[in-house]
Amino acid sequence: MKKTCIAIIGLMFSAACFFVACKPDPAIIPSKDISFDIPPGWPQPFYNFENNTLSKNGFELGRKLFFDPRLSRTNTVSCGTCHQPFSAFAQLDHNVSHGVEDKIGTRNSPSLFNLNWHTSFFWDGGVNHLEVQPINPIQNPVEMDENFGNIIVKLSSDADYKARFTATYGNDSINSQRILKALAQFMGMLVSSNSKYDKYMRGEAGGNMTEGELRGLAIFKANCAGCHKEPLFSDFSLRNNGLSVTTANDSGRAIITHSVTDLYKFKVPSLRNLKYSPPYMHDGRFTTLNQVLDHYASGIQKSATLDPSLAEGIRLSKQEREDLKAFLNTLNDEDFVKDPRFQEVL
Amino acid sequence: MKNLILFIFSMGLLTAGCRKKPDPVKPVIQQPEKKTSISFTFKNVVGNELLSLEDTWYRNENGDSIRLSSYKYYVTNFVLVKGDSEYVVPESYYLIDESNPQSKTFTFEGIPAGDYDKIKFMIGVDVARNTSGAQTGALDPIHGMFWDWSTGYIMAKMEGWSPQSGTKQFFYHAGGFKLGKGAQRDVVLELPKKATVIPSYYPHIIIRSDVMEWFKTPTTISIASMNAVMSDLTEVKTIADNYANMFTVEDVMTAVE
Repeated sequence: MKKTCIAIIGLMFSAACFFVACKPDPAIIPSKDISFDIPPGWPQPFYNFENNTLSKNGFELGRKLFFDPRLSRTNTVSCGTCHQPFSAFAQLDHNVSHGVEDKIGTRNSPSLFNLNWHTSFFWDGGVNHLEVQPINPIQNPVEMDENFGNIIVKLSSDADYKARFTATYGNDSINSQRILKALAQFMGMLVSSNSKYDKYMRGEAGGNMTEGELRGLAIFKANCAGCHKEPLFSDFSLRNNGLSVTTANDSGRAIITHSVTDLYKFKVPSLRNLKYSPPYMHDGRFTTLNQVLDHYASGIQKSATLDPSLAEGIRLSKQEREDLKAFLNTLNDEDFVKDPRFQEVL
Repeated sequence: MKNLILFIFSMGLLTAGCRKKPDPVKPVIQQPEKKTSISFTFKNVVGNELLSLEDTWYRNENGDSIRLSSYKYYVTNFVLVKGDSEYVVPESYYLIDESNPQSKTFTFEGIPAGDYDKIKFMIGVDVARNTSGAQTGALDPIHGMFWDWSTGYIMAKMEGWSPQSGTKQFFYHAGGFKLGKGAQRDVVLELPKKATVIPSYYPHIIIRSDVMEWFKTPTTISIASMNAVMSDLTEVKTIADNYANMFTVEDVMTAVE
């Protein structure tokens, strides 16, 4: 009996070890040639690579994964397909996303920058952490339609990946956590803080605003800054901005909370880099800023959940509108969209 | 001797199970250092019978016929209690998956010696691990217990068939973690006899989990009125309040070396 017990215990030990939640990876091997810097005057970020020590290898692994179509079932759609660097990581000229086999989504792929300050992700704010954000598009049947089991098989047969995972994590084991943390390193490093507005705020060369731009700044502060809060140009809240309900009948935040008080609420997008990232709104219905401003002037649909700040709309004179657009144009960050660190490397 | 080798082999696997930096396991046969440990086995049952997936029809409290295809739940955050003191088992996250017998038994090592009289654990995953990014091991999203569109773990999941369902199928995905509204539940179980942990004594706690409690106490659930549960807070609460009561300790066995 005694011996049998020991044998059973032994077997239990071996069985058990496969189901233990293994402790998190030892810290990523850090390197000094990369750093995440909070731009002067900005608030503390919501995510600052806690439990995901930033390294150049990790960032570069993340970049490779971001642009790798093997993360999709058909090996044709990468994160970068719908998030293009030249479009401030939105997708130019696409109102909604196109996924595998040209399947059409229901929402506009948002631009990606300053993500470490975001307190939630997706237009409905359903996801709570940058590291777990990519799981959704990877698994979504109309986006990449893939699962991590298959991705791990694909990447494990690639010598370059094995080398990169080893350089980043100390060995070539690939799992979803390592993939997601590397992606978070790339995405979190996408900081856009070098627009004319930023230079103006820092008193740097290139930051001289014209009179029209300064008038536009004042108009912005009076009419828009309540939701599009500086310096991120969003307060990341979820609000109903009075868009008409289309046949898609996207109820927004209410999908997550099941609450009628959240009907048609969507996450406030940043106003940075608008020049590169049309079309606008959660379904990409507006292709120009004039259409957006027309909506706020005269298109707002009243409903129980309409944001109170928009009850009267935003009516601007022709001159005010031109000044506001001139100001919004100072939020475009050419350095960011052309940053060689953030481009696809083949 | 045969058993000793088996034991060493098992210890080797224990090291290999966690994917860490390769620590080469030295193939030297030596007397293993005596360690303390405590083991758990979760037995999913229906009344007095072991649960059987796929091939057996059961009747729930409401009289509905059900047959299960999948049954999984998290047990996490184990605490061992002796008198007034508690030992919190670090990193204790397990996914009990009925279709995988190996998932139902696990062992904690390096437990402080003592006579434990009570255990505590959580059904589900704590708030911290629902809000702190990518996880691994039992919490890897690859196990199909993670919502990618509304972040959070499915704490417990039951799927199957029932003629009482309009669709002939039913699924209960009890998810959501927000305090007061979550599907995680704390469990406290008195042990029928003390689990004595000392070197050479290896207690093994057998926990019975009666699947039919999901449908029973405090709220009787009928499949006809509840056949698809996912994120409706009221329905999830009803189910979670029921499964909170499904555990009993069947026995504490002790293997002596």
